[in-house]
Amino acid sequence: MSTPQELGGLGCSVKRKEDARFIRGQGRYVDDVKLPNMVYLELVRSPFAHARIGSIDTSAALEIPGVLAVITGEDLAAANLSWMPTLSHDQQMVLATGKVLFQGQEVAAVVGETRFAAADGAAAVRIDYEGASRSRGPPHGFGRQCAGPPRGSRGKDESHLPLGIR
Amino acid sequence: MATTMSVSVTVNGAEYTADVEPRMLLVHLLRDELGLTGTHIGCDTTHCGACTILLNGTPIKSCTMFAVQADGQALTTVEGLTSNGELSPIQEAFKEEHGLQCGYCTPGMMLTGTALLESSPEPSEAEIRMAISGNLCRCTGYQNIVHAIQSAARTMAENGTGTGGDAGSGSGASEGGEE
Repeated sequence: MSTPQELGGLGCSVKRKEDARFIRGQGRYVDDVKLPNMVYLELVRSPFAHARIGSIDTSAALEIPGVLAVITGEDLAAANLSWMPTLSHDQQMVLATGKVLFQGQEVAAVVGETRFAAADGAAAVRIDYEGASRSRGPPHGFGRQCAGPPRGSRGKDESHLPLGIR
Repeated sequence: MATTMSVSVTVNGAEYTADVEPRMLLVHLLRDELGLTGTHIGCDTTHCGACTILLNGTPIKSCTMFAVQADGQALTTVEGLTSNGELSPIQEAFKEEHGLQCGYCTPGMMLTGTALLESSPEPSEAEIRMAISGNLCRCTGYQNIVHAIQSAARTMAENGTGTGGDAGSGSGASEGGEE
């Protein structure tokens, strides 16, 4: 069953209205938006899979021209913003407090006037990690003292690890 | 603080000069300094091809080249595919063949396709798939992207025209005329 082509209903090919701008490079994605006084963010990430955060020294980063702020997990905790809900109904740290639980976890955020200032600032943040260890995957971590799921949540490991690992 | 270097490039036929830090990536020169945001950043690691542009007619990933390395070179971005406002055959084909959904990979796909048809006007399906193997589409619209490039090749053959565009990418300008 189809309707006449001129009506453009059932069974008729319909041209997309948005294609005209996309094929000319005139889409407006979030990354394309540029507003006055917009600044850049660069994240400092943990090189370790499991470690306590001893101390974070942001003084050198803050001295770099163009660095506007360095934010740590403790700063967020003071504002009660260090944990956020996720789509899987648990919660995760925004920036690590106390310890890091995976390699690449966000530990500090540097705000800069330019992307270069933010990057330089991130490189200048000094973090002392204590008791650093690397998990080499589930078989090695299983049965040992693991980092454990975030407090108040089931965590990712419960839904993934029990399948097939003995 | 860092010193800057002068870089001059021809983008879509127009010349630009800018003072940039040596570490500035070419894609950031295009997007941030020249305001040509049609070139997208997908991965920052050369995997996805969203930032693909043409450097002297050859597809390159502009997130993996410094702006200063492009000094004196001719670049083509998606903004240069149209000619006097007219869509190029490959742009027309992407629209007609439903070769895009979200549109994020589309500029890179179209530029890769343009370069392919410049060098190989009648590519096989395997050649097309090989050519776009460095461009990822998260909407998984590969089938229609291949159809679009095939369609553009047919259009060019029928009309005896090149891949078009204001940029004058070189080799394409003198082609055409053969039926």
